[in-house]
Amino acid sequence: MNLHSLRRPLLAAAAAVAVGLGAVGCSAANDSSSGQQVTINWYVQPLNSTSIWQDLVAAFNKSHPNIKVNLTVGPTNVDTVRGTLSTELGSGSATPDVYEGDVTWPAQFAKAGLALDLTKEFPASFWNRFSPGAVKLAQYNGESYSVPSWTEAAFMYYRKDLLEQAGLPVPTTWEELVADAKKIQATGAVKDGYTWQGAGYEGLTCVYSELVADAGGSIVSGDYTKATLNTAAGTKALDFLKGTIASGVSPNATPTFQEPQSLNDFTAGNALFMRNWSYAWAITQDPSQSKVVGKVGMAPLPTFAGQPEPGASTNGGGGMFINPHSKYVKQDVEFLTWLTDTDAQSMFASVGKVLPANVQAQTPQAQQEVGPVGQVLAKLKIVGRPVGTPAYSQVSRAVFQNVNSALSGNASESQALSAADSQVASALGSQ
Amino acid sequence: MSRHANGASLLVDDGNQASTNSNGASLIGSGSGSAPRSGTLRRTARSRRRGVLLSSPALAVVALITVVPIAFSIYLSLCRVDAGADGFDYTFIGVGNYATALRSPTVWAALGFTALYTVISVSVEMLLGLGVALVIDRMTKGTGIVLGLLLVPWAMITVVSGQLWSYIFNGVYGLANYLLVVTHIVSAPVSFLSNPAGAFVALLVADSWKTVPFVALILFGGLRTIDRELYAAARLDGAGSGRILTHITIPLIRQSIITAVVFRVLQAFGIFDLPFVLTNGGPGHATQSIAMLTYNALFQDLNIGYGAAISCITTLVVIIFAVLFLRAFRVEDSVD
Amino acid sequence: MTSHFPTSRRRARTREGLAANTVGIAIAVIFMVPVLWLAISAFKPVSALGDFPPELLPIPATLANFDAAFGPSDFGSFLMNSVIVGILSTVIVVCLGLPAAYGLSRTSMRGRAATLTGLLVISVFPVIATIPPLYVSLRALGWLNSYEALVLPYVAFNLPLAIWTMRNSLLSISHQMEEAAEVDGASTMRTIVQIIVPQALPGIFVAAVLTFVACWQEFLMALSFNSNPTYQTAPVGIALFGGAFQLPYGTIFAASLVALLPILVLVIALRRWVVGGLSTGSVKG
Repeated sequence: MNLHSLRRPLLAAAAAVAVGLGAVGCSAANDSSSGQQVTINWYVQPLNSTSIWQDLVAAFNKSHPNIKVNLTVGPTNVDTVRGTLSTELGSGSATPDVYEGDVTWPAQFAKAGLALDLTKEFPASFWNRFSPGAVKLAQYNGESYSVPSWTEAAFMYYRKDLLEQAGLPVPTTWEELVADAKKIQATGAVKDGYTWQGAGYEGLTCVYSELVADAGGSIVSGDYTKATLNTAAGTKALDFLKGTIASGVSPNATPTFQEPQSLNDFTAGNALFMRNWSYAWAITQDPSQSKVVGKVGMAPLPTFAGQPEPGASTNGGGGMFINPHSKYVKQDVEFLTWLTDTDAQSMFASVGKVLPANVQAQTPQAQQEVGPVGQVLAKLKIVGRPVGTPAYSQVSRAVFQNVNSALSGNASESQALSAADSQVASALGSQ
Repeated sequence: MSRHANGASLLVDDGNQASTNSNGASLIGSGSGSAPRSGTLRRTARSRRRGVLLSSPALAVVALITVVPIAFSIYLSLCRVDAGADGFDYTFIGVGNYATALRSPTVWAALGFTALYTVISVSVEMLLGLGVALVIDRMTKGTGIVLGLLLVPWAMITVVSGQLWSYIFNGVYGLANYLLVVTHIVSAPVSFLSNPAGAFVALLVADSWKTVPFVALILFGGLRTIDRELYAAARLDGAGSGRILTHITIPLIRQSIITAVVFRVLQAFGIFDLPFVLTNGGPGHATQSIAMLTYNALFQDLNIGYGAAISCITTLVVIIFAVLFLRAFRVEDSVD
Repeated sequence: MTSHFPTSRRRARTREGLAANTVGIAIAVIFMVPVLWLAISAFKPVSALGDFPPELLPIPATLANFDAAFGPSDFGSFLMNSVIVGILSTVIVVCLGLPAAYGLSRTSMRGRAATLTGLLVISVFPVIATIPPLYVSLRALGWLNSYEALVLPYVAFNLPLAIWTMRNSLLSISHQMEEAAEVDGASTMRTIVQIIVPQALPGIFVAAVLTFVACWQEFLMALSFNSNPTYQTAPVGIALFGGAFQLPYGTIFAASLVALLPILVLVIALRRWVVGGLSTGSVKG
């Protein structure tokens, strides 16, 4: 059975309601108007306070009189967006035609039939405009489901004024970071040494998987058959995170911190180091929101002593998907080709202040426009999350819930890791 | 009276008994429910037709709009849902989703948390709500203003009140910490939300703030229908305030109490927005409610059949809960 | 019937009333503390929201958060939609629910217990699970992105509680006047409107407020059924604030503060009617 075959009885029931209520003036569903101009609906998430989406639409509509892009900006919470999009797309709706999704979505959306297989829609050469890593992240079973649009990665933010004052170099290992933090905390210049995201949510999976990678491990095996958390690397990563809280380097409330709380701690001038995404740069430099304007530096995240530098950084950012029921796939493709070409991509840098996904658009000028993010980005060691499984959301939940339990002292490290291991295994096994 | 015959009659008071077992009953001039029964057969038949006629529009709307989706969800809970060429495909698999759910420690943990939370929060909120309602009912001036102000917490969009309380309970700069520090109860800010007991209490405070007014409003509606002269008569007979409360007020607003408890139990058992914003189920999964599991399964994992199965399990549990509660309530009442 | 109280008892009542007034106001003040904190925070600059110890008053006060909420995102139109959807749903719920409550409490209609139980069971079922199928039906009707897309489910999901509350207040109304009206040959509807409604006003008010507030807060359906901002309601508007990884407390608080105003206006507008209605309800005969 198919949801479409359900439509008729539901329609009858719904029509009966309409009659029962004496409703009048039912607006007709406006189906495809086969005029000259085609309207495609584009659904995105708010990126930041810039007008990037509106500007892109205006630019496209101006240069493409035969296609009109109609923009809808959804809620900020990525899981809320997933919920409403899956309802809409799962019902077979033809709109939105093109939608923005998270980098963790391609496998899940592909398997659930919510995303069009783009491999045949675009010429093979199209994908050369992105980094091979970004293309691979957007694939499931070797087929592409998402067009990378802008990228985002995790950085270490530091108070360059305080480090200079103390005559300390920017730390490259976690051990140095902790030692520097204790030194400067002891002077009373800052309350907290290092602020990061320890709440039970997706961000903690990112933090934790970076440290596991630094310790030479991973969350799941490369072929997605085994959970590999309850290992030496998994334990070392958790030890480190717990240690930062226990030693007072990170605030007590870290197990409740998401990005805004960490950023708040840092922009209030309370913290020496912060792990955060590139978006945070602009806020640290905005006098209406920050007390540390001009005192901040950015660097790659550290790694454990004895490991090759730098430490691992998780990547994020947005990709564009095409609705498998879109009536205008040809126009969708034309739009996405334009969106990822250098002109539009340089707008992501100049207007949106985020890094474009097109490597040719990652010019020195673009790097200048997005701030130090641009210069540091090239030095990062990007380590993706295990998003190749459709069960990624369950895998990630198993990680962040159990790591959070251990961080807040409600489970021992070994209990937490073995629970996480078995939950990850059952999530992988269910696919 | 066939009180204990079946679940239905336990759940619902036929409406004619409200006044029959309480002391106050004889004092209300006319027994409220006696009229339809004392009528002639012809009048009863007319009354029946009239009842059907008056109820059917509302019942039809409810049935059409809610029953179809619910029936469909029950069907989904027995299916495996896969992507098809044109939307989803459903394969009937029987009780597989239920078996998976009942084997999952996460589901049991969430059910346990939700049940505990429901019992504690509803008890606390009913007691506070009754107190507030009694006070407002006795006010001679300003009833409207106090009622209006009390509606503010209840009317605040839940997602916002979740954000507000997470701001207040913030472990670094929250108002709650400030108040504890200036009163020297703690020396430095505490992180309420990173231990299970703290997170539970934070949820309880935020939830009570919002729902005590709800309970008070429903009970207040009941209190206002009590004839004031009953109190006066009872006082003349020498009854104290406590006795008036237990022997007149509570029996007379029993219908409102049942309504408030039943609907609070339903809401508490379905609690979602508040923990979603305030604790996100944490620390770990200590405050993960059953509705959050449903949400995760349906909207994060896109595991539609499984999510539907959890919904059906939730519904069954709540119905059992409601039947047990009402039975207990009745037993107590008949002992009295 | 008019009551004549002896003076001593009246004095006792006055004393009790005064005590109740004091306690009642104290309760209201306690419940308002978090709201005040929301209001104070809404007027603080963003950079002061993370201060510890916090400033207890927003000095210097700023309207920047209100600009952020009402400038670029036009929160006013979200509020307007919430008001429209809330009022429409409430009116329909009362118009449909009151006769049903009457039928379920004051007639000898069969299956009253079963019906009331059924209404309860419907309210138990997690609303989240009904969203995908409802979406399909609304799309089939072409009603997505409209007021009716929300009014229809809001009416259906709020009727059970409304019927229950109104039924409770109908149960305690005397049958004498109704019977007299019937003997005089008044129609059922006329009896309800002229005799029952005035006495049941407290219950109707409670049902109406509960319904309006429930509609006012609903988020998931509002988000799922109306993706067009023209028809989106306030909770959805608030969810659109900020950006990736941002939690703009200031903007959220400013918007929510304004979102409380319609509720206050509603209560104040209804107050006279409500208090009037309540006293009608309590003085019988």
